[in-house]
Amino acid sequence: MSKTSVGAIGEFTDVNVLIKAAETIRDAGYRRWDVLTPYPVHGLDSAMGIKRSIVSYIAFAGMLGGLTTALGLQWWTGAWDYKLNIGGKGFFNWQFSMPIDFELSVLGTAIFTTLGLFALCRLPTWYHRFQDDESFKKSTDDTFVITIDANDDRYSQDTAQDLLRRVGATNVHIVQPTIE
Amino acid sequence: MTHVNIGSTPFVATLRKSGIGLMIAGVLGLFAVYLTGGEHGQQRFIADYLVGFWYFTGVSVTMLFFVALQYLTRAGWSASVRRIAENLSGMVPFVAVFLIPIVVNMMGHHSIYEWTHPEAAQDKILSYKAPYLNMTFFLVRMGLYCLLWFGMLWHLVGNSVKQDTNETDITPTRRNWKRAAPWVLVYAMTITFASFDLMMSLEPHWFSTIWGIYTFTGHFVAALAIITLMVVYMYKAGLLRGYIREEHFHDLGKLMFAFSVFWAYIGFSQYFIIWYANIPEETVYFTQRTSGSWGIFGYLLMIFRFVLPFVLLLRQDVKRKITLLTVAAIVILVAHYIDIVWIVMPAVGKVMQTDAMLFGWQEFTGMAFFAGVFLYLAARLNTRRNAVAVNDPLIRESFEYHT
Repeated sequence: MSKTSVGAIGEFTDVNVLIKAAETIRDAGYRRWDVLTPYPVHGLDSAMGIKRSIVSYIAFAGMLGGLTTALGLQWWTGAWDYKLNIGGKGFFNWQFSMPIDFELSVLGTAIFTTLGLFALCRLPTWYHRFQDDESFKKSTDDTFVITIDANDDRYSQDTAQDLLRRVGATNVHIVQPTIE
Repeated sequence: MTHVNIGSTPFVATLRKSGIGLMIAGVLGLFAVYLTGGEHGQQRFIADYLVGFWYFTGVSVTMLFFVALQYLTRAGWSASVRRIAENLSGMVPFVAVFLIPIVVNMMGHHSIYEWTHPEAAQDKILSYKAPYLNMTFFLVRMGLYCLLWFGMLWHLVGNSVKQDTNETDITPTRRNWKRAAPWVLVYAMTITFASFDLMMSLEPHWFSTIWGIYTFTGHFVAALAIITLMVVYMYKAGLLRGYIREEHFHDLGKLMFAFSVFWAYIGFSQYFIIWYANIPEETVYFTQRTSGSWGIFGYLLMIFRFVLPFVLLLRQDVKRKITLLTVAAIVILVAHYIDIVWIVMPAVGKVMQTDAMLFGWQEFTGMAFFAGVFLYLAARLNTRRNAVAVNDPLIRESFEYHT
């Protein structure tokens, strides 16, 4: 049973150093790495080189789905399959279909956005390989943490640790897996 | 940081010049409407005047609401654009003066308001409404609106300007944080009742309980569009660099988008309930405005006020692109004009007992005059005061802010 490491980890206390560090690691070409902060840090996404999320396209698809369902159901049930005269209105009018169109569009958008967001964030994640590390735990309290995954193409225990030390991290170390 | 007083820049000089030019063109145009209108000259003149008056009075007063809203929510993002809105409220002290022609017309024989006609006393519906719709009470209400609006200007904006002279003591801003909430309430009441009195009473047999919100959303989205244009042009002219950033365009774009959608929601709610109930005394307003030549205006309104802004501003990156943002803002301003013409002119046509569609060059004259007044007063305020609330405690948050 070979024990491969999970990755390298380093701590930061200054947010400006952290952003500089993220830029350096981004420019070094690493892809499987992450920054963990106790609170949202503005500008970190661009420093990490994260592209804009595709969640808005997923939301748009949800909107189209909801709208089509609303229009289709109202037209098919009311004006095609079972014509019913209600209050002398037409079998299908854009006026009365509008509230349903609106509500189902909103519903479709909301469901797709939520599910899309969960999928893109890989939620729910019950276990994270870094999670038992003491430095990692600090990232929910008072420390910024950068992790570099062992399965990154550029990863080797020495280069990753060197890089983290060079960009100003303290307590740099390699995380070993705790469960098989 | 760049200069915060832009009074002597070519930008403000252009504002002033175009303001004066539009005012002159507007006055000449309005006289031409009066003279060429024949027996209905005065009515057409006042109707066109009212279109411009309501457009720019509403927008100016709504600027005060925008300011109050920023104080109420302690908004950080807007601290560096708030003064731009404050400097666009220059028309507020003069509303009473600009009301005079409208009141004079109401007292004469050519009134465009049906309820002021002597025959209204025989009309059953109008005689029931007489305790509210009568000249004395109307004047009292108008006086009250003018006073309250002026009070809001003096109490909030005046205080915001006071902060400019004091770098360390933020008492004026603290005071405004407390004052904002009651003034928002006053704004809500006054704009609602002013819209009942000046707009809805053009169709005195008809009523809509959602009218106040409908008016407010229209004015608010137009005010946001004007603030956006102002911010964009200042930015393009190289003014206030460092204070205004892409982030502010983004936020104004988001607000314009949100309130265009909100307008559609309210506008549709008003139409939908009347359409469904199909009661003649309620549908009279929409039958005239959705059929025949005014029907085209109805569709244009939907397209310009909802569809185009929605499509244009939906994507995130568009709100950061100056050109498209400018296009969207202009579309919204055109839509606000279409809206007010669509409200006023069919009603006036009924009073004038003409089947002709009252829309032509005449309808641009009142707009030109009030646009001129609006721009001229904006230039004047920008000469007198800073264009940025330099000592606002949240100003740093505003120009360092990220979305």
